[in-house]
Amino acid sequence: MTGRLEDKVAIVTGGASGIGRAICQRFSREGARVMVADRNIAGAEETLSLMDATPDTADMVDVDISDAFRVERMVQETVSRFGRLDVLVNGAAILIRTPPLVDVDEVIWDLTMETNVKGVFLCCKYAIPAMTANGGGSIVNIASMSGIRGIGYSVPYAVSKAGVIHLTKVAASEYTSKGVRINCIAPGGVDTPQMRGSTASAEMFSERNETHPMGRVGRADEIANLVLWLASDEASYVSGSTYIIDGGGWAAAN
Amino acid sequence: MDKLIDIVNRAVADYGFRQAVLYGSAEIARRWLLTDAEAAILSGAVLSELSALPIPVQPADIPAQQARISDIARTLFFA
Repeated sequence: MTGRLEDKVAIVTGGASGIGRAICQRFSREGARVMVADRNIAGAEETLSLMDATPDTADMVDVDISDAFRVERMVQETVSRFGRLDVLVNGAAILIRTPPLVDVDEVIWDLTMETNVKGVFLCCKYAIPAMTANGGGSIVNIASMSGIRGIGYSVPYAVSKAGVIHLTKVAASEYTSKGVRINCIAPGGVDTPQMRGSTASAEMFSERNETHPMGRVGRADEIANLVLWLASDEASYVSGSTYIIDGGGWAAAN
Repeated sequence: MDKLIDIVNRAVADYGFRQAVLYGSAEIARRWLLTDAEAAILSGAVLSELSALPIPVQPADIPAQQARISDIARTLFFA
């Protein structure tokens, strides 16, 4: 099936790699015009080339999502460039491994919260008015199983993702009635540069595959499939929800 | 100089922190209270070295990479 996002305009933060890139590619194939938003300009350019998009159907913007001015400008540029905004995917995040809580540096806590929580807040803050101006839209926040389980490799990251899950619920309670559906996904392990980088060694990465019920971690395009559905009109009655997508990993652990 | 070396060591060992440095070196310099000279080394030679590292640096290689890039930073700082 194609055309599931025909005539829609989407911003994807974190579009320069991993899950964000896969979402940009999938959205493009489904007919959306896509603004690839990231601080990693080289990566965003590569995403554009992989999307096989034209200047009429995709562009990129350099944005630090913890900076309100730049987020507001990102939304303005998107509306100015493509005429409207229908979909926002909040995929940008940082994951810095930390020691147990007592030894976590305050600066790492602040850095993580400013990107992963404040960044999502700011993107919603400026995207929602642009969506309601046109009758509504859909926001998909990328959280993590770390925000649900008590996983101990990064206290700030886990707490920030729990914050994203709750931000989703509160924002949905406030804006669903205004036509903006706001949902969240919580992926388990996904084979991305970020996950490979946050796994201490190649051996440990292989181990994650071997111990998973499906014998492997997820692929970014599998995550993009769920995001596509939530972004599309097929999910017209879905708002305020968090979807776990971990290949049965959590169920098996319990 | 110790703060710059701390940044180098963290960025070699942790890919997430490395990304924060690669795409926000000015922000990292501000948060770590680097001097202008240290910030310039971070955003120049150190960034270039960090961007060339494998993802992730394998545990056995971390000390050597930390020492190599720290040496580059120190050499530039004391030149």
